[in-house]
Amino acid sequence: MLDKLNDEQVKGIEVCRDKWIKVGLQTGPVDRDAAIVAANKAYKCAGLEPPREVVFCSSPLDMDKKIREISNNEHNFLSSYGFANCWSGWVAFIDYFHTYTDVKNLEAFEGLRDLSYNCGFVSFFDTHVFISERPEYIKMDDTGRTHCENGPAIRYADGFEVHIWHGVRVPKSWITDGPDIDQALHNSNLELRRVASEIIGWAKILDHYQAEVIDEDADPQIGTLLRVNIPEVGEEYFLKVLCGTGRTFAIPVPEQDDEGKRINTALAANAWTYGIKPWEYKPEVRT
Amino acid sequence: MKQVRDQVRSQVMGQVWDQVGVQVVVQDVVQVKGQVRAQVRAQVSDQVGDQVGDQVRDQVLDQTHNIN
Repeated sequence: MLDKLNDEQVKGIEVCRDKWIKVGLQTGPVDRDAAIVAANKAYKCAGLEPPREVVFCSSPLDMDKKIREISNNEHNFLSSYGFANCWSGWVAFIDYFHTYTDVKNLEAFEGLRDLSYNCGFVSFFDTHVFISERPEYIKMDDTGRTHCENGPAIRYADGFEVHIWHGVRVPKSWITDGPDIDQALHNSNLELRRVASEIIGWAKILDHYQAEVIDEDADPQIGTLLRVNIPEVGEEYFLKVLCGTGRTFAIPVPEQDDEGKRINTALAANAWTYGIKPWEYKPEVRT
Repeated sequence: MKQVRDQVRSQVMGQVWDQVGVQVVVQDVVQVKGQVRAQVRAQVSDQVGDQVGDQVRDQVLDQTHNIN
């Protein structure tokens, strides 16, 4: 019986996690011979006869097409997907106990484990098993979210692709051409509206809606305090500021500071973004 | 053609899950299983399943939902 983890087993947690993240993010063609062996093993572990036919698919979209064709539209990818290397969280959990502890009788999961190593998405049927290739590439930002600002973040060799902005799936045109400002800001999905604003950039949106200047500091790095009326959003305040890299940003700021005092200068707005008072941000020299 | 997803995936995973359950001492179940669940299962799911698997599935859904 396992009652606590020893030092080696504790270290194994991180090793196991990293291994399975690598398996889940694996790209490139599957080894088809190994995939067939793994699929047969998974069926055997479940007490089933091996499938009569292994159907390889170039992507999950191609898998959908082939499942529909072979099942005369009775099934499709979404109604039947059973497994994928990128959905192996629970397999990773069992693999930890199988590899690092003496918990017994876990051999039945080895078929699914080997499928994870050797396949993308998998759909199981009595006579057929459908196995998808893995993506050609997966791109991520530095926080581990799928992301690409100038093309698909996930792409399969057959051209099936997914466009993603910092973990949020977006229409392809938003990445290739940029979102239309009016359409984007009227999107009923608030998260997509936020993402569209991020892609367009608030500075452009403020220009588009002809924001009113409340205060403009002589120092462009302190910036300009603006008020804008955004359709269906209402009146919002922004600080438009030049950053050290030479790019202009617009940062949403509240109408009042944390003490309820109205923010009516660019300096006060800039100081608020740092959580400090205006005189702390830019000390005045008094004589 | 009949689906066997439940047998190949769900029943097998249920079976091995039960084995972990009965072989980890009850009073420490929360600590040991919880630790592995949080640090292996959850992180693999967050970093891979949510970021890749769910996005790919939803894209397939978008591109196929008008077919049927």
